[in-house]
Amino acid sequence: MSGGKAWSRRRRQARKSSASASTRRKAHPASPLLERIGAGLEAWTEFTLARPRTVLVALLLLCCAAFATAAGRLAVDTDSSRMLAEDLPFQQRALALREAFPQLKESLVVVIRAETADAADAAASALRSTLAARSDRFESVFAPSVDPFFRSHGFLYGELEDVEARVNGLASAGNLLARLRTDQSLQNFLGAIAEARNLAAFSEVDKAALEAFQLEAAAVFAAHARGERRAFGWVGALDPAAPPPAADALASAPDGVVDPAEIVTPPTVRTMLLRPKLDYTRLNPAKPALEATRAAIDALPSEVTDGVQIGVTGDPALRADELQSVTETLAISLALSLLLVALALRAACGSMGRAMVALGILLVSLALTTGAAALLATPLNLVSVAFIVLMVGLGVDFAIHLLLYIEERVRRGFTFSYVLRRSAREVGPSLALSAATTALAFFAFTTTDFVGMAQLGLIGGVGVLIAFASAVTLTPAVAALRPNLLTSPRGAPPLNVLWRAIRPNDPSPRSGEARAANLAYWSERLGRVAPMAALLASFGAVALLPHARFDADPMNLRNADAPSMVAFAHLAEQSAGANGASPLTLSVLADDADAAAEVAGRLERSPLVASARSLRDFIPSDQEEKFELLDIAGISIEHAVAGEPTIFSETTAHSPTTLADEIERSDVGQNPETDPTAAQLAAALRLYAATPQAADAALQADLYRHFPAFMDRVAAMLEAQPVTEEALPEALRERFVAADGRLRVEASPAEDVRDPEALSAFVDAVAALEPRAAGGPVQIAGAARAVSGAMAQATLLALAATALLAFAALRRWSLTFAILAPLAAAGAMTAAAGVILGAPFNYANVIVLPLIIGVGVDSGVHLALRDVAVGPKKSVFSTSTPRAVVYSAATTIAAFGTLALSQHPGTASMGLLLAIGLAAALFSVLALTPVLIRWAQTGAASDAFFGPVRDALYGSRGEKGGRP
Amino acid sequence: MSLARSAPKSAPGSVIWRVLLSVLLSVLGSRAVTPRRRSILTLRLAAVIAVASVLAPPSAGATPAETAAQAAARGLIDEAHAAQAAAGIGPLTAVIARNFDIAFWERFILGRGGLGMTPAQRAEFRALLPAYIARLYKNQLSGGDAGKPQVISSRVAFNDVFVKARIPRGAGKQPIPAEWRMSDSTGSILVKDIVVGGTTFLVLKRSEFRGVVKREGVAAMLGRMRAIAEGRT
Repeated sequence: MSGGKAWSRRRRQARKSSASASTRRKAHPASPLLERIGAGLEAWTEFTLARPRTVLVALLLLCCAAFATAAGRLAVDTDSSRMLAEDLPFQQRALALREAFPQLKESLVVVIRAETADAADAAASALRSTLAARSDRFESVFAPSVDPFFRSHGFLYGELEDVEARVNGLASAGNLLARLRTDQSLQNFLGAIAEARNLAAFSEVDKAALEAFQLEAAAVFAAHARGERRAFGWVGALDPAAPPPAADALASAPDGVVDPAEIVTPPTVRTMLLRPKLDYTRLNPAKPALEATRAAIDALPSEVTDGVQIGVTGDPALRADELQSVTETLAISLALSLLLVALALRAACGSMGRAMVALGILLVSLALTTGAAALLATPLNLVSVAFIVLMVGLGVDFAIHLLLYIEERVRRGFTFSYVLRRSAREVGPSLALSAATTALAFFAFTTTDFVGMAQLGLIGGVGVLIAFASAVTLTPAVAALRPNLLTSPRGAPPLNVLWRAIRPNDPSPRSGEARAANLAYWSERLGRVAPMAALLASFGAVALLPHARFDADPMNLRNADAPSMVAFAHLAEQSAGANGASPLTLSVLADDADAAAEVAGRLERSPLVASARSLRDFIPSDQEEKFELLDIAGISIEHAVAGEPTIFSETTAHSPTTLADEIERSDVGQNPETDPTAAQLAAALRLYAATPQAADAALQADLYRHFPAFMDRVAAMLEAQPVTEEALPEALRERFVAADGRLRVEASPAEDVRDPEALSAFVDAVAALEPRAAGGPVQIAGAARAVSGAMAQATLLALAATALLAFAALRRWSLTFAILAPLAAAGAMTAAAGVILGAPFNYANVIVLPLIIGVGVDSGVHLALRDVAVGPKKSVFSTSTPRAVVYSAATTIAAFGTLALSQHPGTASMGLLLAIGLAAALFSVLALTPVLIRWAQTGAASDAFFGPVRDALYGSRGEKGGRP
Repeated sequence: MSLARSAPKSAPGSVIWRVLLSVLLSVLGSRAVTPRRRSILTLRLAAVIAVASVLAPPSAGATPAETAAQAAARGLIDEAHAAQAAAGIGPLTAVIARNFDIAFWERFILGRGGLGMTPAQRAEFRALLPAYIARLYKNQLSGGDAGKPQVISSRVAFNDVFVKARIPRGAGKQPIPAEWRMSDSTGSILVKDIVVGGTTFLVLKRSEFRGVVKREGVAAMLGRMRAIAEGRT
């Protein structure tokens, strides 16, 4: 039998069956309640049909009012910390901290990363000078490494042993520095090293300072031998406490000499804290200061910025970059979305007229919902602003179901006038029930502490009701005025149009009816194996559920390549576990200095706390001993900065070769391990000497580039005075002393808390010792717990409320179960997909859960009621409902799946998980709902689930059908 | 009150009272003088300085404190030069013990923790220190056969007076500049530190001792001190 004939016969049978069914059923097959709803909707349709213009004008006026309300009231708060209820304990502590120290969150942080501390300090100094002059943009500019106070007193910080090593190292190098100060030539540099080595040979002092100096020199000579520029790092070379370059490589080198290319210095990171003047008329109040900072960085001369990376981070910069990365590909994404939505609507509706009507209903729903959002939930947040996503997915849903039903019935031979009036009674109740259940599911989210989702639930619930009302109002109104828009025959689908353009002579383009029959055919075939596949997928997904997690770290939503994120990463890498400089710290407020010291002491006992500091900790310890040290060593430091150098040995002018010779004539020549750094220097000198293109002038310039600044820093040490709290810089004090006198204790993690497990352990460790702790890590950990709990609570509540309402309307638990079970399966599949793809739930993509519930309940109700309506002897897939369900979900996926292409990870994850979640919801509903209904009707699970598989394999039902 | 802080900026001194002071310091440094007698003489010295500064024309740029410190330094140099020629290190050790603030040297070199010494080790250290310094002085500062160091000037810095001298090194070699850091924090004008070519002995020795203790322990450090003090190295 040919496909065309088979389809014609089926169509005739379907028309007869449908006509008889519709005349036979006086009441809705599901329940009297739905019958009453149908009657009410029929009356409303009659009312609208009688006064279409009045209704349209009223809708237009409502839309205008909604726009005006939205324009006047709607606002968006991008602060993710406000997305959780303020009465949560950790939120209250965060609020208290923010009120006491607003600048912690408002500050910009300039991160300067360079090969040497000297280069980083030079950049910090230049930038500080520029920014300090911009009093119109900044309240304060604090660059600790070049701050006058810390330049003088910085050496006092640290343990006595470290300070002693630092001061003694400088004192020992006093004459060497004096010599270099008076003659900044390459020869003198080499001669100074030779003399320092000679003097050291007669002394038993710790050679750490000389070793660091030799290694740094080796690094510079080696770099120049390779044709690279590298400025001598004086700070590191003369600070025995600083990690020397290539120390690890040297330690593992068998002969004590490594490839000069391996002489690398761990990068030095310096920070500057900028307190911006805030302009609250802007979305980002710190934007003017941010722009001024970036302009100042761009204007730095190349000799300062060579080999130096400078970035700006801190909350305002991160938020600005986030906005930038969100909007960066928005135009492309939007254009692609519009195209795909248009194609999906055109494909769904079968004609441009119906597609336009569906689009109109969607736009009206969106406009009215936006107005409602402005009244109910302003300011929106990063989650609730996604109500637009929901509304495109759900707003068009009712329109598609209604229009496809009308199209189907008209196509089957019923008059348009009859179909229009009957649509309210026949499909209206399922639309009303799906709207009510979906709205109830959304309203369940309003009960949680997750304000972001609660807002979205409120707007989504109201929006669904608006969308339903728009669909049942606008459709008859348009039908009364322009009936041809709804009755136009189903045209070729967009892909066929494209196919015809490419292959104009193709003899078999399918008509709309043939295509519909084709879809039914494939739906039926797939429907035979899909239930088993859905069951298997669900079980597999449930097994993965324990691995699903909520990632509450807002940093993970941001583009890792954004400048502020790169700067943040540099800061986090450098400070992980070191000196308590992590950007992710915890704070405890204390009433007085003693209490603060007690808290700090308690926290420092935890091995997971690298340091706990209050203002008192910025007063150096052992000052008496340290100043006595400076008192004695000061004369050597003074000699370095102002004394006449002493020439102890009359030496010939040195060249790289002669110094290398001299080193190798010593014990080092026989056994490099006696002084590996000298051996390394000799190797680098030889390498440099053997390089024909090596330029002494460039080398000399690089050797002394940072020398003057270093000597200024050394000279500043002589100005040090005993440090008291009052002497500390104001910019530092205000970060630890609140306006009301309370003190902040800052605890830094010992581990890199960008790792969620390390973060959780750090937060737990601190909370165990000090439950009042607040700050970023507590916020992240608390949010993860609160949101996970809120989502679980809301999902269960939504399912329960939906189940009760569905049961109240349908009076059958089997139908209720058939609607809800696929939802649970879809949720599990989505979560499992997130686990497999390494895409945990986050603030951006978590809206997929309510969307699955919304679309799933919606589709399930439609499919269940239609399945009941067509009876057990017919497949629901022979009706328009599955197509409507598919197209409705396809429209949402088309609209927002393109977000997966975004540069912003949060947005991309939202697009990805939305596409996956909706596909899972669609698959589960289509695969499981009809089977569950059949199971309920026959009472035989094996027949319900395995029968279709059996049929597909063996054709036992004897009805294989033919492809039309 | 420290020497520099107590010294008012006043008129410079002259050759007359430099000679006077040298004589008095020689008397003070004599072994025949008892401690009580030395205290009395010190007070008298201060009185003489005051009178001399009024009577004698002041020398260019030097305050009375500097002048006193220079005199003390010269006295030390002269005494030490005479003592080093004597047999054994004993006479020079006595000069050092009288003119150096040995307690301060001990405290500074050992630091707050005392390098973890036992009381016995500490006592040995204390006993060895004057002889150890004497050896260093003899080897590095006395000038040896090339002649005794020449005091050339003084300055006030770090609350003390630094007396500058040149240490001769023999024919054809430039003399080494050195500074005697003189302090009166104990009531007497004593040598608190010696600075050679910008390097302080105290810091150098503190670093050396720490380095040896870190590498080899306290006993080794005391052994080396003993060896140097006894002239075995």
